[in-house]
Amino acid sequence: MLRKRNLAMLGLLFLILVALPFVIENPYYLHILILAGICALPALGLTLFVGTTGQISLGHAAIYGIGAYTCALLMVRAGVPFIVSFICGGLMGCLVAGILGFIALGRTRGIYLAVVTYSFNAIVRMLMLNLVGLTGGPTGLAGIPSPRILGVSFGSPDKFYYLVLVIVTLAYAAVLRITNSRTGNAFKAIANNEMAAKSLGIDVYGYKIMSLMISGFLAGLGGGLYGTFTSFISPNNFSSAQSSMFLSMAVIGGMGNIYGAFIGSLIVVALPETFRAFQLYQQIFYGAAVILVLAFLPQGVAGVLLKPFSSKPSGFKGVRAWLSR
Amino acid sequence: MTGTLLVQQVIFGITIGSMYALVGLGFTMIFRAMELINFAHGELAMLGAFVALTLTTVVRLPYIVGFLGAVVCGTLVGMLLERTIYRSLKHGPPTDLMIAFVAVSIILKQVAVVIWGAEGQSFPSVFGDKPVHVGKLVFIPQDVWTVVFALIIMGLLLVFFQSRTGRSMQAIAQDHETAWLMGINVPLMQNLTFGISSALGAAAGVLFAPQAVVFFNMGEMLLVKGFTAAILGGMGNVPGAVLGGFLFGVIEQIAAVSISSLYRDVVSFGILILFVLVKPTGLLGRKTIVKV
Repeated sequence: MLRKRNLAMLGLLFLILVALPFVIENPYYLHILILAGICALPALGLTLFVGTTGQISLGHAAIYGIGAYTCALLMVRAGVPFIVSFICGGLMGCLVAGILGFIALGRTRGIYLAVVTYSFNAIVRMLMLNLVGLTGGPTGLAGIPSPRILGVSFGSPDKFYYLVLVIVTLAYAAVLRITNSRTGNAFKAIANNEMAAKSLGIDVYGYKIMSLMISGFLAGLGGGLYGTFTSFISPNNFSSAQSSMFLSMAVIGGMGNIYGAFIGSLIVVALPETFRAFQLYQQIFYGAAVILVLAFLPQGVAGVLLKPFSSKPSGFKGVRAWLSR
Repeated sequence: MTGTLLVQQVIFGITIGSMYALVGLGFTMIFRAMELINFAHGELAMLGAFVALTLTTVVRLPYIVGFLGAVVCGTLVGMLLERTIYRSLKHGPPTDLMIAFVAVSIILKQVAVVIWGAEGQSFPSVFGDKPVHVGKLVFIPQDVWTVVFALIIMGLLLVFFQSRTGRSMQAIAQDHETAWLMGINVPLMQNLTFGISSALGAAAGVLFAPQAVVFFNMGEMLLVKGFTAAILGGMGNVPGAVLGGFLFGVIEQIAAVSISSLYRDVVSFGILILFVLVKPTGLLGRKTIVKV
């Protein structure tokens, strides 16, 4: 039941999004939609890792940046085709996430993960600034070619839009599949009660690393898309402030629901463009929005928007809801 | 590296370490009392530095007034954060609290940009930069005073911990519920812990300011150093944070001189990872057993 409903929703959303470029006349709106789609990838990764698995990462911008630099450098310096560089970016993100998880997830308390990912972000940015030979340093890396797959160029915004749409849809389908699988149940069990999960024989350490790696893969893919879309990346795009922005997207959108990632990125990407006059105060607004959502809207904006569609709570949550009547 | 040079670097390391110790100390106090990682702690240091800079250079008050002003300001902000954010989210999942404090850090950074602008400003040296030679060693008055100030603050804290209020604060760090039963006002103590921790952060920021550029993002690296100090000494261990801070300052300084000053921050991260991997309880920490 739940899965059918989800599939129908996904299909409807997909159709609307496919039709959008024909309706939107202002290319600027398309630009915003593309950026929101790109940011939705790391935000979706965070939804899986923070929301579903109950962990924390403050270094997703660094993983996103590593994906971006991997993809861009392969394309610019080695002339590797887009699709290969793009996947390499994702795999690199996955690898880095795996190493971070290996280091910080084995301990009983989640605090080490927060500390290690936060520091990791600061250090990666510092390395990006200082390894001038590899990354181009503070001036950044310019002239990243637009994607070309099998001779078709995705240089124009509407074509790039479809590329992003296909990739984001695939990512959503994959994450939906994972959350509804046995693995997803393990993730949820860990979020719910780690000790109980462990006593049920769930390999807590392994599943946490797996969740972080999937999340890192998505962030890395997002980075690759970002670089090829803007054709320019610099260390400033991957600061810890950006990590906080990804986290804001996931929280504002709502982490109880995977659609939250896209809704949240759309809000966070689109609002500053709408309220240009208040640019100086944007960050304050987001910070406040995150705190207010955490305190008053635990399901985020997506939770509110999708409320009419949601069925009765099922499974374990349903039992809990029933018990606490 | 010759003996004299090594001693010289150790002295520089102790100077910088005294500030890491202060940051680590404030950070570890909140962690110990509330199991919370305060990601806005670095921003409190930044705020302290800016307040002191404004009071001394714009209002032209004496340094000590600027210093105290920053500390008072830090305390108030810390208490406000506890009252509003910690209290409204403490019953939720711990990750929510952590994310909320990341959001606070974003807000404080941007508030600093709004008030003081995005450009870095330099903090004038207060006690002089003219090196004083003692034998073969070189002392910079500013550095010496920084260490003295930091030690005075730590000493005051030590005295405070012996007082009734200080002991109550230690009690809530050990066991909330028992502390409640003993008639300790736990929320008040948590509020005080936040205030004192933030005051330490602000003080560290003021002391650190002449050594660095005062700008809105200065808290980030300072917090990373504070993390390293806290983990090196043992997370949640108060003497450990002080020891960790000094030790880490010295290690970082020696590494910067013997390897490359460019990568001193990487050394910090290396030590952090090494300890998380090999000895997460730190040098002085005891192993905690999680009971179900």
